[in-house]
Amino acid sequence: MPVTAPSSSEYLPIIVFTLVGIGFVGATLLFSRLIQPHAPSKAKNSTYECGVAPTGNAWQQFNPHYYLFALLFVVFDVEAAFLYPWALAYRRVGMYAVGEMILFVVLLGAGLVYAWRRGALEWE
Amino acid sequence: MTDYRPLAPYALLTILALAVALLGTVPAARRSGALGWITAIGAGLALFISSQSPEATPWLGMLRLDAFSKACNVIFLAALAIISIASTAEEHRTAFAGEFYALLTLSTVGLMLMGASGGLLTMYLGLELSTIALFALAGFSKREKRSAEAALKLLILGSVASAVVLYGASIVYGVLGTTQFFEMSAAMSHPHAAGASAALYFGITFIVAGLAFKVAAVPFHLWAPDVYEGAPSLVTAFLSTASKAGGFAALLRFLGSVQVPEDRTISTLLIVLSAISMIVGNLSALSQKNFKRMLGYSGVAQSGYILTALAAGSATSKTISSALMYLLLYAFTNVAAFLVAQAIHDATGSDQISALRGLHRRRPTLAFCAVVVMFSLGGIPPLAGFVGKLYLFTAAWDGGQRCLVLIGALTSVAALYYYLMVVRQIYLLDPEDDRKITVAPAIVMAISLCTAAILAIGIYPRPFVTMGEAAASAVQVTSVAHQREAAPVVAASDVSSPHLRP
Repeated sequence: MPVTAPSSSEYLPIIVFTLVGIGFVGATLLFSRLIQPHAPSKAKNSTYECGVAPTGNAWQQFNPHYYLFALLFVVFDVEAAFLYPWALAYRRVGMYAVGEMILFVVLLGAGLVYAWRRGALEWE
Repeated sequence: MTDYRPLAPYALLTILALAVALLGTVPAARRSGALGWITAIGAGLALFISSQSPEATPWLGMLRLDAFSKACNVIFLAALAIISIASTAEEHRTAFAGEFYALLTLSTVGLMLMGASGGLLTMYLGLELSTIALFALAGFSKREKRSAEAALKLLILGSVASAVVLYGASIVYGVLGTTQFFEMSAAMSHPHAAGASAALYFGITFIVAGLAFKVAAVPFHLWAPDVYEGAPSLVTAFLSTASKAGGFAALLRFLGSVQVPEDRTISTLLIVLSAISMIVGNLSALSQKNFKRMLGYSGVAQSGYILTALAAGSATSKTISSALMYLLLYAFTNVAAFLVAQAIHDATGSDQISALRGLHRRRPTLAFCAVVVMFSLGGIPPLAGFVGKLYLFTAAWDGGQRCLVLIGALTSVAALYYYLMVVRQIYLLDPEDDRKITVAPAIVMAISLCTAAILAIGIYPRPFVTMGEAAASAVQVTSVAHQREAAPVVAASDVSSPHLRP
């Protein structure tokens, strides 16, 4: 539908929101800098305050297989993220939703089979 | 309930792409050269289903599966089938043949979506699908530095171009409040609409510029010669024909069904694009030594020829039919030209024009086909290139673009020079090395198919003209019919929409 060009006053809330957003972040950082106590220690400055102590430098070559595993992980991650709301809603949407989800899972499955056949899951 | 049957060719090709990628992981299937044949048969089947399927506008008109999209599918699927057949010759050389055909097929699906787009969103989706697959394809010989360079150039410039399209689309949406083509016409013709405002022209110009990148029109052509030269010839064949046709399909669909009131601005834009494409393309091609690079610049000029018809009025039936017909014959011609480049590269390891020297002694059939292709590109009767150019220039002349036709005719003469220089190398010069060269049978077969098509279209163009005319009336009918349908809806929204102030 045709819309007349919005007048500049309609953008005013956006400008206000932007300014408030920037101001809030700036004020919070400044305030915590002003009131915080400053007491660094070796444990506090390490990469992880708790957990395994890091060894070596992060700026080194990684095995590219990590990258493939991460990609495959994302496939399942996204699948789970979509399956969960689907599982809650499919009673109301009916067989159409089941068909759609089967299609989705088959497509992801095809991707996984492809990666597996290409040897992405083997660690050399 | 939406009728999903007309979507069958799209679904078939998507399944084909997945199946071929999976089959490619089976070493036995890879070795036999079967993947290319499966892809070619799948493309042929999709073409048949597409031509038989009823017309439809599923999903609220997001897709328009009509005579226009069917005519575009002929171009894309013919290119896909022929390139797949030719690629069977190379299949044993790579471990990634499955991926090659899968990407090629997915890119074709993207192009088909561009041809069938009913709105800016579908058009953009198709553009992205086809271009992203081509990024990977351009770098397919990844061990070759030039191929990697071609892929990177295409990636960076292609991303910029698609961002430009998206930016233009966002402005057009902001002005008109819709992304559907037929609603856009109605919104513009509405008396209270913002109409032909400067912002609207700004947006449309951006969309046209982004698509001009896809069709490699000057000044958005700089990627073309480099990428054409660096990418594997089989990929370049697809990039310079099907991908270009996809860009034009989107342009025709967009400019044909969106009637901008008093569209002087848009036609001026197209006139400039067309004139400088013909001049720069042809003059740059004159000095090229590399065969693929020369074909790259020649392709820029050919885009200029097609743009002459678009500049004469994008919604006329002559423009759409002549452009579609030219794209079809150009697909056959340029695919054949790049397959010749591939054959010569396989035999001599060189892409230079001088590598064609004395081809008539070394491989007479290939030499004959190459000469037919060059004559067709140069526009010599009775070949397809002549008929196509005649239709294009007639459409431009009738639309009042006489100056452009003159530029086209003059630059065509210059173009004839560099095409004939190739013919001279092939027929008039004696080879330094008299031995016969071997060309893979699959490539010979693909080139022969193209040559036959060039001769057939040149001698009997009637069915292709009819197909183009049907496509043209489909684009126009939908735009006119929907304008009528949409009019009362717009009137009603006058009352309901708070944004509209008379």
